[in-house]
Amino acid sequence: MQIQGSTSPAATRVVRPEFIGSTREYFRLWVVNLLFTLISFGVFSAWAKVRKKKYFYGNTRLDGDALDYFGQPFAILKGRIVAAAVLAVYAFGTEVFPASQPFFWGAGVLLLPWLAARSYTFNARNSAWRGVRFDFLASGSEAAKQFFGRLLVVVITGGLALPWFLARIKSFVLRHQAFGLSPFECVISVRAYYGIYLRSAGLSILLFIPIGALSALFFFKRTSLSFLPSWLILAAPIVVTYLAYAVVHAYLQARTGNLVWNSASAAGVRFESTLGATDLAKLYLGNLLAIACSAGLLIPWAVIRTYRYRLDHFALITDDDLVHEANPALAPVGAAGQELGDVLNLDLGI
Amino acid sequence: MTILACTYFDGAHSRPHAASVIVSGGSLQVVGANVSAKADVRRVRISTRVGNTPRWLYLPDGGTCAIADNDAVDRIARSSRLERILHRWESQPVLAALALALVAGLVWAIIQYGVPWGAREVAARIPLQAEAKLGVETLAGMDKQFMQPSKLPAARQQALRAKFDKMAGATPGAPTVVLHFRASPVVGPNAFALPGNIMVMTDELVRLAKSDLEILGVLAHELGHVHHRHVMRGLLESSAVALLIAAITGDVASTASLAASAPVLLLQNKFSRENETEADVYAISMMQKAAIDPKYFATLLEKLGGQSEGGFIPSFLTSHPATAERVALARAASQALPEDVAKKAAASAAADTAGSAAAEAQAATAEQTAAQTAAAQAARAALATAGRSGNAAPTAPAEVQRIIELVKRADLAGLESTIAALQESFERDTAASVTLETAVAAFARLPVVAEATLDQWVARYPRSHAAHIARARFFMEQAVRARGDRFAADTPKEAFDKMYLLQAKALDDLERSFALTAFPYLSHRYAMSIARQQSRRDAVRAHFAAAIQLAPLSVETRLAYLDALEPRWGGSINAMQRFIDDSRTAVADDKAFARLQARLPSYRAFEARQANRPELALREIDAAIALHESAGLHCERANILGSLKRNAEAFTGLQRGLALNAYDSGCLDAATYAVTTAPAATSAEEDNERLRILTLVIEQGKASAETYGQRGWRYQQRGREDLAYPDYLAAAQLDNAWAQLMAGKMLWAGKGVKQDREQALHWLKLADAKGHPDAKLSYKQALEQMRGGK
Repeated sequence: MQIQGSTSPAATRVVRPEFIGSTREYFRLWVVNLLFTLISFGVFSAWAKVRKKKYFYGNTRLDGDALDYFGQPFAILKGRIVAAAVLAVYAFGTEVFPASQPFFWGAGVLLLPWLAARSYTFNARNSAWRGVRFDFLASGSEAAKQFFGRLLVVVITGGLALPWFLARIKSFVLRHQAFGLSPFECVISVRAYYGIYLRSAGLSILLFIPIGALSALFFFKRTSLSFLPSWLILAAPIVVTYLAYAVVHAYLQARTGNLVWNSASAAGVRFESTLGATDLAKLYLGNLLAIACSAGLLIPWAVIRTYRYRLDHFALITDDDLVHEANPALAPVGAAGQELGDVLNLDLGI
Repeated sequence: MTILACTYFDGAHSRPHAASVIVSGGSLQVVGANVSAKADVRRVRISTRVGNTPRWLYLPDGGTCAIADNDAVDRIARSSRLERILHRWESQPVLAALALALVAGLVWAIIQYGVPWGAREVAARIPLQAEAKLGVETLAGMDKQFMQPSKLPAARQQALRAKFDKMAGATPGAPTVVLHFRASPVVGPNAFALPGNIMVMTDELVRLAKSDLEILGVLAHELGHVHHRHVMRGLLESSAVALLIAAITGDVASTASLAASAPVLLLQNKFSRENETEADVYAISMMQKAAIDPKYFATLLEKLGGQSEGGFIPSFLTSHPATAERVALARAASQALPEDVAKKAAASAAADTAGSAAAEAQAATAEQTAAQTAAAQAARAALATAGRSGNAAPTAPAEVQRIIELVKRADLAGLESTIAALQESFERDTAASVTLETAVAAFARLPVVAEATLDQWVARYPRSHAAHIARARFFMEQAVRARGDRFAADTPKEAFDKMYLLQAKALDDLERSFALTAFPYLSHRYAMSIARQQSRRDAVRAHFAAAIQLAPLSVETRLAYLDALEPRWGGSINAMQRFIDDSRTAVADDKAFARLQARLPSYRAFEARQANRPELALREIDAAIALHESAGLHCERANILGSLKRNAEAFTGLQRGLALNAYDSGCLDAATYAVTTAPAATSAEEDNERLRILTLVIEQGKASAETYGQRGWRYQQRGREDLAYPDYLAAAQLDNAWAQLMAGKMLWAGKGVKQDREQALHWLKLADAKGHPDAKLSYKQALEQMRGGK
């Protein structure tokens, strides 16, 4: 970590990222991506993904300069083909030999840390700011060591160690990110992490007891509720359960997001995350409603809105001019790792 | 030379420099304070244009330039064709809107056609053996969790397998499957197809089914699933849908993944519903080929439907189509069964109910006689049509079936074009009125639930004559059903109110239909019938005049008008006679004229019966039959003979009537009495015939307590106490004292049913309370034993 030419270390600044894209423009990009993906039988999806990322990176200004994403569609396509093949083998393998299901899942879990590490690396190395690339410094085997050692503890404690496990994994991922030659630091308070999970458990109980009671009431009293349309009686408990789930999800996202980023730092930079649980819940519920009511047409609107909210509640606090040295030894990496993780939806959540 | 403002980064440190890019000739130069870089322009990589994001120039030495002016960069960049196309689509709102429309159309087409087609094609190419192991494992898993070995005797299992194989054998190319029997209180009455040609049926289903033919219906349905490879197709379809949804919503974060699961579920249900319908269609066709009446499939579906909660879940949320729709499909197929197949089906049904080996042998002969009767009938039908002047046959089952099918599929365009085409051909040639009328009569066969589809039709085609007369015909039939067939004095006021309401609806449609074509023949025909039922004589006359002007040759119109001239509707014998004489010249062919003439003696017979003069009635009805033979007349004759206590002849007459039309409601009403009073059967064949008729009456919903009691007694005579008991019970529940006594005795002795003395006492007490002489003694004895036992 070397800081070059820092001239006025005393002045602390708050750098807030800005998003200058527009919903209309993104809607057009989205719908054209969709059209080309459909008519190309999915081949274009790799290009679509790159264009989408480029749009968001290019319109995000940090200290006045845009982020750059330069992942290669062909690399992603290669990964997607491999992923689709694996998926097909999985679908038919388990259909024809149901006994092979545990084998697939076992292989999936074993490969998970490797895949995650590859995907973080691909993403980081294809992103840059002010001409300096990001990096992910952990190898697959390192990630695996961390992951399986801790997973064992979770299994032994019967799941009680899960918040500890998640906190450790998150700090592991963040600590191995780097901007040029400057690595990130992150020390998460496990105690605080447990606090969040306990409170979210309490919130779930508070929400789901009345929902359970209501569902039971609806189910057993449905004959006396016959003045309501039957689909409403059936759908109401499901919808309410979804809404409650979204609320708990939003709470966890906001609180853990804040904790993780506020515990992180990079050379001369601290982060500030001020996501509001209520705001996020409202945002998610609004998105859900808008997407459902518009038959998906408002997806771009929801995506932009969510991205904007997250960006607005994120800041860098620095007493430094943000000039960092690039890593001269970066080699290009393939895209297969990331894409396999993507399709199987094994998002580790950072 | 081009000069562009840029922000330059040297690639070694994250420090921004304000600079200018100068492109001149083949070289590119970056110039600014502390900046000086130069490169061959061909070796500079320029990022692709995405919206209005800054463009990046990647210099070979690792430096980068960010340029805001996209258009200027486009002038120096060598963008690929794809990049230019994408940019054009993304930047122009019109093209973006077009893209949106194309996406919507594509998604619809993929879901509607692409996915089902692809799944079908791919599934057909995957060898069945690929699934074999899965099927075995699935069955083993089910056995472990919620299945027990079947408690059916091996001989019974073998018999069912044999029947199933025989049925499947009638359909060429039917898949070969292994039928497994299991008991499972958890699963309940059910049968299912597993991958690898394995089929499982529960004892509970066997128990629920009244006859083996019902079981065969369900098995045929499951075989339909196997034939169409629904397991494999379901897998392919759900993967395809999941991929499609992922393509659309893939870039939305976690919130929408929740919302995305709902459409996946709904679509899978849509495909699953379509598969069920496909299997139903297969089952019905298989049953027809094996000469099994599809109505048995309907009856079992109804029983299964009655077991689960009906109507609570809206159809788009369920994986199976509504039972009512499925039942309607099977019933329609049953009604449209060609005569000869129907006869064979009835014969095999009788054989099946009888259940004995002797009866099985009987079926073969029954089949032969059925074939003979069918041949004779075909000859008669040919004669009847030959006389008609260019008219089509009065029944066109294929057309009727097709229309019912169209309604079932809610194919509004199909309905509109079918009926409109018939109306058009009628307009070209009025002799085609019979074809039109027969086709539109299909709407009288629809179940109540079809109303919604007809409403949609009218809504979609508000100017359609066809839609209005179709719905009117439907309402008319519903009105008749609402009234029921009891005497006016015994019919509750609500039934009349409902009838009037439905008639009003029908009239409303007819009123509107008059203006929708220049030839509203059917509108007048139907309006005439309703007017007759409402005793509006002027309206009857007016509509008749209009109808006969539009279709001068129509015999049906004249017959309908003759009905209205009957004294009971305010006409007179004289008026009827005059009308028939006047029609002599108008109705060219003798056969048709005889149909008109027969109305007079048949009406006189009706009056004679009312006046309690059966001998006179018999003479009149014979005269009518001499003029024109029909099921209704034969059965009316059977009724009269019954009141004369000439029971043997009455029974023969009934048989003749049923042979002409097994579904004639007059015949079904007369059947129970005729069978009850008929002389004892002298052969197994005769006995089977009586049983068959009783079963027919019960299945057509025309059964009284006597019908059940009679059939129960016949079963008991054959030693089939297990079959007798349910019939006695049904009759007992309809308050028949004798049946209550019989059911009580069987329960007491544990014959044909599990012994239950409490229940037995209950029935015996009821029978005794009605003063049945035998019941008194039995009840007393039972009561004493019960006390003694305790």
